[in-house]
Amino acid sequence: MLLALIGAYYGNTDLTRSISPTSGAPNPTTQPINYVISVAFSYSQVLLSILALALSYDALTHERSERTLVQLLMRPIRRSTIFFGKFVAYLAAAGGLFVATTLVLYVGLSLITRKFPSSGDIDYLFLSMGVMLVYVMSFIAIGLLISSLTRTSLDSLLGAVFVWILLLIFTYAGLALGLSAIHMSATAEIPYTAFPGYAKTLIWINPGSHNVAIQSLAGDFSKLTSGLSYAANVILLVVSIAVPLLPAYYFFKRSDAV
Amino acid sequence: MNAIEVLELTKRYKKGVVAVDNVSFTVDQGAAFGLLGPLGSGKSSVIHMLLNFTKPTAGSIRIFDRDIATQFHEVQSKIGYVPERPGFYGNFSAEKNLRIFANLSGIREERDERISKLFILAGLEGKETDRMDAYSLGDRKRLGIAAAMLNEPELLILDEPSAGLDPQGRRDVMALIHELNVHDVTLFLATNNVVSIAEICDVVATMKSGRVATPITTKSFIEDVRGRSLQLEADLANMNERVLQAIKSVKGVQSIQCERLKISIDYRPGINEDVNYVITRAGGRLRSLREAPSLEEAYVRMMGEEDGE
Repeated sequence: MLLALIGAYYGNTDLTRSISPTSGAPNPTTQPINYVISVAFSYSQVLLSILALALSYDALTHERSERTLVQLLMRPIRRSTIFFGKFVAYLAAAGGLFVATTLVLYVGLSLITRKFPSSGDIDYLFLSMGVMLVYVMSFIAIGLLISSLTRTSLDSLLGAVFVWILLLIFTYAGLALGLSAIHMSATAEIPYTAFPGYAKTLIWINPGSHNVAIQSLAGDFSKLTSGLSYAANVILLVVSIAVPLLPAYYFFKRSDAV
Repeated sequence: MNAIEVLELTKRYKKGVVAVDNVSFTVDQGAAFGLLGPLGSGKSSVIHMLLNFTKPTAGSIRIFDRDIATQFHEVQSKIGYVPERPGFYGNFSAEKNLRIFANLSGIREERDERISKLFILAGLEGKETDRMDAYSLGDRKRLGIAAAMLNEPELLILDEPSAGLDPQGRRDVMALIHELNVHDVTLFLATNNVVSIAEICDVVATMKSGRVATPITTKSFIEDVRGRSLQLEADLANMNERVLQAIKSVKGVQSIQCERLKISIDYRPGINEDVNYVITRAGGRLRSLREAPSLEEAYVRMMGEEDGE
């Protein structure tokens, strides 16, 4: 929330200056509110991944260590209901906070600046919020996988921190290896398409690299992000939910309750 | 009808550890069945398989004539389980916890009424709104029984119900369990406490190193455990020839071992009252009168002897 407000503040400050439009981002002149929200999104994106992990990392280990899982399993509810119920609950918590904050910011900014978005801009806002929710889901799924593989809350916490840092390392390692392979230094426009496959794969492992929420806010679906088309990024983002979620469910279903 | 029918049940964990080794037994409906064994004997593994928490390596379990490997959901609502340390959501009140479990059990109508009755049954009236963090172990156990009774089960499985409780807490919990059995709930009680078995169960099977002996009545089991070694120990405040002669005159006294002010007499049922009477009448003063060894001592001794064999 705080980061979203900071982002909105800086975004709003930008509007008072003459900012040249960036490809793939909302145009500050024609889409002022979407532009401010895009800055807020870029600030809150990292925090959302941490929030999603923080909520879900010991979802199952906590139930196991507090022995409440036994109480749940003695009721006529299936393990799948417990597992996916948790997934939906954490999505409602993290996603609900994100959606509420975004909508309050959006309405508030419109009223304060008296710059009202077009119906197209509002459509793009909802599309970008949808993409951000998919992004949140992928980190909740990672948290549940960690929780299904560990036995204590401390192990889960260490696992979550490790995975979060590892994803970051993958991104930077992919970037460094890619740039080094094409003998380039980092620039504003990174030529991902020219990167070798292993460098791109390292970058794409991190769900954060497929975050096309800002692109959605702009309504510019032609630009490549991380060397992939908009549709490919959305598909990989959805895949990044399934890849940890399905094994997490498998391990939870197979594991002993006690 | 059998409440539980276990046939050639085996549980082998990774690294080849055999927790349950080819175990078979049945529990009649309405009975109070005790599974008695030391820690690590495999009792909890049997329970976890009965509750479908873990799959057996071999063998089958039928509960109320349903194979739990394939039809567990059909009998699940008939089974209540009280773990050794019942788990609750610590941030919520006891009542809120029971409401959550009642909702998950699909209890809608009469939910609050049933919960109120269970608080009374468990002797926890007045503690409904207390947070679980503030509950003592004894109260948690009693609330665990209340939680297990939410769906009015026909079979109640209890894992070490008296473990970790002080004497008063143990007495309260055991009285509550006994009351449930009186109301036709079949009990399956796994414990290492022979006294709990003697108080509650009518049939007992001993378990050791994953193997279960043939179930026998608790009465026969107690006789087996105590064997012929049972004696009555009288601790006297004063002793004289008159008192000694009075004790010798008690019917059924075979031999007396007299050491300082302590007398050991071969035991027979009902001898306690007779000895107490004659000692008092002869002018003796009795400090204490107890059966020795106690059931617990005799059981520990028996287990030790079996280990030595």
